[in-house]
Amino acid sequence: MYGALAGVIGALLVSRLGPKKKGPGKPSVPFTAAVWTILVPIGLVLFAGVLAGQIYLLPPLLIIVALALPWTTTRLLLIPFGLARTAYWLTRTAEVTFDGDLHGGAALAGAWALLRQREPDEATTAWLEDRLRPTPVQTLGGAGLLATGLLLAARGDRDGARAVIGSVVEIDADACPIAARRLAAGWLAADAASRGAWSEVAEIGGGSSAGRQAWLLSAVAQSLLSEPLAPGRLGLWIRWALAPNRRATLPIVRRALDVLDGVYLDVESREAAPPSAAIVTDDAWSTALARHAALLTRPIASVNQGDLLTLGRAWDAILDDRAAERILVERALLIGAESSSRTLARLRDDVEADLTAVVLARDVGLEAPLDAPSPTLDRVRRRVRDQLLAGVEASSDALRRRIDEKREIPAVDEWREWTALRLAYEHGARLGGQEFRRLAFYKVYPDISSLAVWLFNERHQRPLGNAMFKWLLSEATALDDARAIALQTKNVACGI
Amino acid sequence: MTEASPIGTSAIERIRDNPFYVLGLRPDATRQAIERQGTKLLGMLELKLKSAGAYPTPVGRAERTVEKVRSAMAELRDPSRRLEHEIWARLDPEALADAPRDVTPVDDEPAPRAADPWPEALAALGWRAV
Repeated sequence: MYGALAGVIGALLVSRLGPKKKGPGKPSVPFTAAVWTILVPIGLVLFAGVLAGQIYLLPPLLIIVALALPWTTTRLLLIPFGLARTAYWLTRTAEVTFDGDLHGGAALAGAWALLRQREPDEATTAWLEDRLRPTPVQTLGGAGLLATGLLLAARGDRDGARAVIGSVVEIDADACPIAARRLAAGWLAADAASRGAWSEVAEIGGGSSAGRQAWLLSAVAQSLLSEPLAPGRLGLWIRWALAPNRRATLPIVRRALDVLDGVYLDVESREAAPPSAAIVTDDAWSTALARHAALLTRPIASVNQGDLLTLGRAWDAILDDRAAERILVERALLIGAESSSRTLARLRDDVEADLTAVVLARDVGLEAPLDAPSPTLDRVRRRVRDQLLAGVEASSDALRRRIDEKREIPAVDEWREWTALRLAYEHGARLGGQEFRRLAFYKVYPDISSLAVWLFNERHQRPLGNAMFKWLLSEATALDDARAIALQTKNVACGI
Repeated sequence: MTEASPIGTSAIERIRDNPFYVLGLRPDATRQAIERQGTKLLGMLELKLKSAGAYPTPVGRAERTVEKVRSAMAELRDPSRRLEHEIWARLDPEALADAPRDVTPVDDEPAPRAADPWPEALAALGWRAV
């Protein structure tokens, strides 16, 4: 007993006094080395004692096992029981698993344990959030970002959690332990599966560093989507056998196997829903109004590009038609209205505002059809672009003002602000196409560049700055901006 | 009832609260017909007659109130405003009554689909308390 205690103290002393290498990417495992060289031999002696019937040696033996295998102990025992603070402290010794971001790894363990509590404890949540905003400042890595995302999930902010956890993969491998990458992929895959976003699941688990959980879900997703390269029955069973949580994943694996057996035969059409008898009419006004009303009352998820194109063309037949304008003029004269042109302008404005709202809510891009362009949809496209651009510009301006005033916020919050801006930009690029991308890039480029340089040079947050440089480089390359490419290539080459 | 898109509460209201639909009239109604119908509906609402309590619109049935009727009558007295409302009221309020809607029937259990969400995923994979 006393030997074990002396061993623990000795290990702590050795780890404190031993040589240390600091910084991401540099292996630094003094405590682990001390545990394995001092404590583990003592543990073997204790084990022999326990086998000989000296049961009182069991507690110190278990402590040594926990210290020798901290992450395994945390994952198998502390996290399932929701012991957040204990998980945090024990994982602080998991130098091998979270090499490069040990503080982040500890917070990640605590946050994960918190999620396993029936009602996440508010005080522990706040305590873990404080650990992620340390004084003095510490370099934030991938594990810390995952911990931030899990804490957001514990607070019920699933969208915020998804945004932050999705960005873990952007952090350089030297500052993002492989365990953090795998866990992030596992959470993202589970989250996407719970929303039914199976295409996302298939993509998340496709990478080499996704981990077994996401790997299994990716195969399931491919089967559910009936993708040609989906693994067969044997492939699914092998992945299920190798992945964790076998009993819990069995139902979804069975569903995937049912798809392979042809139990489900639903094919989703991307075409516009066939119009009802009431919508098919010779009267252009009734057709447009009926389609408009039908679109507004449909569940937003069922609206597709085809529906928007059909409705856009139905409105073209009125808004760009002289005959329709004449009907309005005649009607205005008859009832004594002042101006029919103002009424028509108001109608156009209402129609475009409604369609813009549908496009933004449905998150569907409006590609211009090559054969027969729709003037109404062209105007809607411009509105969508302008609205998205205004949002990105406002965020970018706020960022610029803060940088100019040198108003620092904790690294975690810097990253969340940057993630929000990047997601708004990418959302705009998805909906507004290359034109939006070009316009938005020249606005955000100097602001994000300044933030990245500030974080990299002055704030000890080189991994975050490096991730931003990489994003700027990829955007500059996509837009073929030679000057930006040259500068960001140099910045990325600085590493972390 | 239909499940409205989260996008256009105002857009749906524009159609649902159209004065012509509120009064149960077509856009070619005369001013006298509008006044007569408005007065009649106000009386019926005063007496709390069930038949006056709701009206059909292309976006589903809506509740008729005294305020809505008064506001509808006032709107249609202004010729310019009336012209705007006439456009949106051109559609027969019953036109979409038979239209197929992408709405899950309340009573029927929808057939399971392969790509249905897996709501228990986070708990099943250890990311939430079971």
